[in-house]
Amino acid sequence: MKPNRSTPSPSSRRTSRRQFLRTGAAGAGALLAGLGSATAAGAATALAVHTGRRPNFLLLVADQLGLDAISAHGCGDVRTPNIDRLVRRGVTFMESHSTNPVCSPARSSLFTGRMPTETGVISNGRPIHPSVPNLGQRLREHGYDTVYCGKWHLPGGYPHQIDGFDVLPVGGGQGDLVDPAVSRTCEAYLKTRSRTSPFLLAASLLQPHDICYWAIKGKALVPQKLPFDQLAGRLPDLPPNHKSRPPAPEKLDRIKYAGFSDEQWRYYIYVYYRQVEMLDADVGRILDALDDTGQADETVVLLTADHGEGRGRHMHVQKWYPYEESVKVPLIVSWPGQVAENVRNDAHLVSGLDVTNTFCDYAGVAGPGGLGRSLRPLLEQGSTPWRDFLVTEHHVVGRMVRTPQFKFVRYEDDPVEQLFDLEADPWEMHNVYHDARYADALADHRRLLAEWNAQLVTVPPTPDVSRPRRRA
Amino acid sequence: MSNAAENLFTLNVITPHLEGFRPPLGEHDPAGDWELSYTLYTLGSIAGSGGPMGSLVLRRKAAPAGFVLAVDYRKRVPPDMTQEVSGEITCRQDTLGTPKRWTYASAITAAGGGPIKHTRLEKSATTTDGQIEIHDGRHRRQLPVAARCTIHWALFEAVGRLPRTPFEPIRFTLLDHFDQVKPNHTLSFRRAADVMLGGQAVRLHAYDHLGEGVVPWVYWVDKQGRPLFAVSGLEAYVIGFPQKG
Repeated sequence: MKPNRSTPSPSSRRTSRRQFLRTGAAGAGALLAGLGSATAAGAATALAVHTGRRPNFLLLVADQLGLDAISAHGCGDVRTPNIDRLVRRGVTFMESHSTNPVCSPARSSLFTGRMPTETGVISNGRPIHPSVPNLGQRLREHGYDTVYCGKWHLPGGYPHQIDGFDVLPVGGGQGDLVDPAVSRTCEAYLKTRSRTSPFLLAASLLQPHDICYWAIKGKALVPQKLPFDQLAGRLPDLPPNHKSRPPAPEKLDRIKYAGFSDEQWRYYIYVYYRQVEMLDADVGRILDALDDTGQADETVVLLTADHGEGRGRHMHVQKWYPYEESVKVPLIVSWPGQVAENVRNDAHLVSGLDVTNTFCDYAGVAGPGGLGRSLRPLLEQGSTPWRDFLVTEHHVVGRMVRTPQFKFVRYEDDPVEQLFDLEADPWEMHNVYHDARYADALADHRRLLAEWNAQLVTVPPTPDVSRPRRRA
Repeated sequence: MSNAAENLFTLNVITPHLEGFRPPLGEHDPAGDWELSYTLYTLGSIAGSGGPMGSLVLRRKAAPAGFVLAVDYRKRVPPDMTQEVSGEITCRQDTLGTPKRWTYASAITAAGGGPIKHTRLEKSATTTDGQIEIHDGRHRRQLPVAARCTIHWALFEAVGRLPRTPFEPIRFTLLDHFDQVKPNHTLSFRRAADVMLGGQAVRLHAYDHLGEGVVPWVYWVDKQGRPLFAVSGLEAYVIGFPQKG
């Protein structure tokens, strides 16, 4: 069964919202094999026009979840029935990017709709600039109950106070111990809250971020020889670009994780997918609570992540860098009856910039504007005039320009640039920036970067409060 | 008997936290009535503050055609709050102590006070062949499970009763954190290892628990069937440690 793909073709632009909601789910078939008839039947009866009442918002933020680390997105090494459920219920964006694949900068964008250079959060441990309102502040001002549970990291990991939100405290640490408390607490909130006002509940789960420690403490957590006989033959394969190290700017090139044997890499990837499944279970608990309490039909659910995870691609663990495994993140949106069901959008370049804009649009609240966009036209109609490119930030001085076919990477003052033709080279193994055949594309992308930069409304970097202050 | 590194995995992970550890003395009947207390360690802190983060107390009491396992889990919520989960599992007298029913309550509690608003949750469940039905007082949810299923906390009990020799891996559905249904799990015996603990050689038996949605668990059980350590990645439980004054 072929997935339904939303494309920005002229004909699709003429498709009405009602047609899209109907054909988006039922016309081209379900995204997941074996689920087509039920999904299509659900969509056919889910065309009730929104009455005008403002929706609730459930924002599920995962930490270090790569876009392709989900079974509904084709990963055969993991089973994510609950995230898959969300995919079936809504639109999943396959060209979704972190604004900066590091926790704090990416999160600053998710919660403000601004690029990290516009929030002041250019690296971890910095607060959002006080001149930039967050999503909680925007919605609270207009009558929403705004509640936060889980990791924040702007700058405190698990602070008990966040401007614009009531915080449900759960403690911090590791995802294996804190995420079940986050999901239980979110469930309790959904089951006990007063229903006098619409809500924004931000549930920020830590998994699969725990994998970071497998690299930091590799020798202890990843033994030279695995003792688990039952895993023989069951470990994930190494990715095709595992040892690929295309020419890169120096700051990017020096990131490489060495010291694992092939079997250790494969165990590392195995553990990562188990942590994704832990995340999935906690997502499921929260979605179940939404369903059980009859609030699902009134709630826009959006699941995304701050950044991805290396998983041995390009000899990388963790994030920071502009390769696909680091910068691509899920962005899945559902609202039964209002957002098309079971649609896979491969055509539109979206990013964490668009989250706050989308929620503000649905709430009828002024959004941050800037370079972010509301996803609402894509969710309801399948298409709209859209951006031709987007930019992500890396290592303070690095920038990536992404167009439908290419990825361009430039680090300030570094003579080595990167240009990948993602249609021909989806695993990013061949940097063609010196290839004369791509000279025009290279020049175009340099121009696009300048164009993007000219539109930024930057603020001074906020202080990194996670590091001891230097004495004058 | 080889004590090669892979045989001691995951004891190697918690070794830095075992200074001063003394293995418990005295008799222990894994199929009888008992109470075992554990200290919870989180091992992932980059800052090196991987000290005690909480506790787990398990109480087993015989009951008609099975036993009841009481669970009391507490984890610190800095600076002065606590994450609490208390439950009771009525188990069948079978290999894994398959739950017939369970109840649990969870909350975040303030220092010296009760639950913080919107954090208290109570649930109960009953299992029948191939199905679990979970209630929260107002809502009901039915989910399929394998005929052999168990709750994570009950595995602490089950490993004490398992053979100390290799056996065919036991396949089951895990009910993680009571209500998260995770299929395709196995529990198996790996091997025995002689380990120096508190200046004395102790024979420990390692049981491996693998499956969807868990980082491999390893239970280290002494010759009397008392799990001394349970380690899964960054999460570790150490029996009765540190010693109370």
